[in-house]
Amino acid sequence: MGLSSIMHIGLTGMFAAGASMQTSSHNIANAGSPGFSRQRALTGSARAVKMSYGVLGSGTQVMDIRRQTDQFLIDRQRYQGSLLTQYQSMDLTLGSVETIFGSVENNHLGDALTQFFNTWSSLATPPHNDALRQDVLGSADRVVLDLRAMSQSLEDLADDLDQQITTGVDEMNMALTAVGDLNRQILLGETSQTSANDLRDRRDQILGRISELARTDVIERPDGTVDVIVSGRTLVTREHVQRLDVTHDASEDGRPGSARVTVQQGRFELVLPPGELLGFQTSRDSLVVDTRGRLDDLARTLIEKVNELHVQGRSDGGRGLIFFTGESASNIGVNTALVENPSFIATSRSNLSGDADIAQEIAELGQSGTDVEDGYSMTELFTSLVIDVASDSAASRYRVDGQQQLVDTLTSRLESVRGVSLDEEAANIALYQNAYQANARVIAAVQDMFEAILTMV
Amino acid sequence: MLTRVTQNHISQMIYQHSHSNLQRLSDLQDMASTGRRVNDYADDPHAVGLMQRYELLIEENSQYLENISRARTMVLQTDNALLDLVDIVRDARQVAQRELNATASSVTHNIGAEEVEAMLQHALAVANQSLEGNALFAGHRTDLRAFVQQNGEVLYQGDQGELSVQIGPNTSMAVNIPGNELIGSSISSLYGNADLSPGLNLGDSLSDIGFGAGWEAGTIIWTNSFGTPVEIDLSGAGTVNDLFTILGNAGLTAGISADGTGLTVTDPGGGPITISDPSDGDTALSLGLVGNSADGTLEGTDIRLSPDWTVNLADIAGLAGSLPLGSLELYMDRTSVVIDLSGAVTLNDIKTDFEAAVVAAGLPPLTVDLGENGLVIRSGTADVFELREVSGDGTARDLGLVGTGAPHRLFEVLQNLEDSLRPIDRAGLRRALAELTAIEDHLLEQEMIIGARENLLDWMEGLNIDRDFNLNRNLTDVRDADLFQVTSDLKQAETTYQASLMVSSDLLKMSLFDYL
Repeated sequence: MGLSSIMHIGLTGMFAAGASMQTSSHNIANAGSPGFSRQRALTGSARAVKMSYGVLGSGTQVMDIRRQTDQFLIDRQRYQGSLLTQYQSMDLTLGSVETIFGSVENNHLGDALTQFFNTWSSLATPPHNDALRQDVLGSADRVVLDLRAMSQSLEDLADDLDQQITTGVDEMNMALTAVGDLNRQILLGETSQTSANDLRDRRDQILGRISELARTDVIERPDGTVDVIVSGRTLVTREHVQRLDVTHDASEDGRPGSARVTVQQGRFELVLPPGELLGFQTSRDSLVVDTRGRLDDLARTLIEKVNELHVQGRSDGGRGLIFFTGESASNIGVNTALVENPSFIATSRSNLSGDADIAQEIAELGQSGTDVEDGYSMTELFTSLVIDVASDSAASRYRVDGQQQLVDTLTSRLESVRGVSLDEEAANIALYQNAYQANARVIAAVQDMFEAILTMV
Repeated sequence: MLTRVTQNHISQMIYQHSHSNLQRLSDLQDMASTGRRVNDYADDPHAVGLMQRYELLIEENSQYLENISRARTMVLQTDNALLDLVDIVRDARQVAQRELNATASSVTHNIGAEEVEAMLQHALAVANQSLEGNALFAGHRTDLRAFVQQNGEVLYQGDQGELSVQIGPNTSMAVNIPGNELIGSSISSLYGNADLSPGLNLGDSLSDIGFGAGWEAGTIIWTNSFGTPVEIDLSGAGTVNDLFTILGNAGLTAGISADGTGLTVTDPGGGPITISDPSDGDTALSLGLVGNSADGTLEGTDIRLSPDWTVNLADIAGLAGSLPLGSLELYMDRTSVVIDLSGAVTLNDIKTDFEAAVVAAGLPPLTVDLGENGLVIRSGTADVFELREVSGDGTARDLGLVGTGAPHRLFEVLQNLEDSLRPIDRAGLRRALAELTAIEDHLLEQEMIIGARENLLDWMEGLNIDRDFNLNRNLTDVRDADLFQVTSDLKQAETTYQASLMVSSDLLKMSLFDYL
């Protein structure tokens, strides 16, 4: 035992207190950094010195600066987060589809259809007025333009979603590359004793974003690097990264085909797991295309039913003229022969000026109670389509809300483990300050002791 | 339960809660500013469904109201026209009476004749009225003048078509009176209203079908179950049987429908089947076969032949169960005769028995004729007769022969009146006077029909306005926000939001650092 060793013990204490203080300051400085996990300096007693009368302690030492986090919660949060982003992107699409179908204030196609059948009813009502033929054509034009515009909007939405998939894949590639880089840096920066805490925080954060795009399995290796696996395909091992690509299906009926995500230069399709990318893909391939299909069905029924009656009629243009051309919402049109000669609109089978049986029967297609298809009239068929869109959208809202709450709860829990509490850090700083001062007093005392000895000389 | 509460956690909570508070505030503000409870489709799909349904019904209803108001102009104008005609007939009667007076002279007769001529022209103008270019009394031929004067005779150019208006859900009504109804016929006649056409037979000639209209020889288009159109040339057929042979050769099974009124064709390949005409023909239409059927069997419309005198009563579907016939009662010239038809086997027997019985009773002769598909009794004069049922015997009703045969001929009577005035023909004048009374009654009858239609229109309008009111109220219930509730909710949400902001800012300010 010697005075200098006591002084040394004081020094180790001051050093440990300083290191702890530095860690606390680091925590406080990063209190607002997203994804940051608080760190703590772990101190322990230094190796003891064995004396003849017993074992003497030789001060303290900093063992490690450790991240306080919970890998289980991180994994859970990522897992549920992928579902949340998927639901959100689908919700966004449904919102857009809903907007295309109009709003409570502006039920454009519904109004146009009602108007169309009402003009036929007016045309069928004596005293007959040939000017009303122009009304029928005008309202038919409105229906046609609206159907085409809606079809085009849905088409544009599908294109947007394709573009989103491409952008998402680009982001995914950048993130995967970043994980590879971080893997390399962590491999270099860590030893068996120390861990590269801040690099790991950043990597966790990037992995979180990857998981939002597509649910990811992350496997940590003993050397600190992680393997990133999506749908059974390993995309990152150490610093090696497999890039993703986007290919498009062959186009059908002139519309661009679906976007597919592939690996190895398009050799294998990556079956997308839950996440934003799947959300975009499902939105495009199911929601948008399905809705467009139903709109096409509606248009087809309108074309067939109106034509079926109109061809039975006779007009100045003869018998058998069709009213609508085309067979879907995208190519529906009004027969140009009728537009050029409104007198070719057939209002009756007899073509007698006072007879209007055909016009009346066409008007009835749109009246409630008429069974055009499945017990619905033409206008009711559209209403039921709108209700379906509304229900889907409402269900999606609830789904997003529920999932958001789940993710929020997990985030809260994670924050509770890894977040920086300023109060805690304040208390710690006071503690470390005291420890530092106390150790300084030990050194001052040893100094006094030295002086006492020196004065004896 | 959280073990550690950190500043991040608190600020996240603040963010979440103030976000939801703000969201609620914004929802309520939406409701307050639009006055609507539902602003997005997804707010309440069920309510959106109801709203759209109500809006649809309201639109439909307003169309019915519009139809009613259009129809009313037609009905009112018809009403006015009838009143005008009644006035003309009354004036004509006064002229006739005046000229029968002892004080009348050849001078007044001539003046009367001029007056009547003017009345005739006036009546013609009234009967030829049009509304927005639609002739009122021409049936379906609204583009034609209903009556034209040719060689001193007034001819009806229109048809018997009804102009029908939809005035409510599944409710239509006729708004016109066709010209033939307006002026009636020039002799007393009673049109039987029983269908006496026999069913179709294989040997029937195609030139007689469609109640004598005949068929249009030519080609039909059969669109089979594969959607392939096949043209079948039927022009070689002479009888119904020939037709079946040609259709059979083309691959279609054809036959007479179960009730014997029309044709039935069946596609052996199953449905759907469509039969149509080429653009320049009417063959399928004339055979009653235009249309389509999902199950492959197309039932044609009624194309029976008009009955002819040789038809056996037993072959007439409408008389099944009523044979042998019984008796009916004729009332004419204050004489009542019971006519026994029990011996009749063919339609001709009815004619012979009936005409003989009338002559035997010493009454002016009546003729039994064949109409399109029933019997017509004509008197040849303007004498009124009436046919009644003998109690307990349905014969008169079975043959459709219940009612009054009376003359009513507007223009001819006016013409006769004029003719009887130059030179004066007192007997003719008296007959014209009697007929004018009958015509006035007839016009008043039509006037009553129109009056009833006006009432129906008023009643339907009231009904539709009520429905409109109720639908709007339902729509409001579903769609609109309770503003009182919304305002109070809004105030409450605002307070909650302010409180949460206040607490948050206080909480965030606090830290242990302040106390160290």
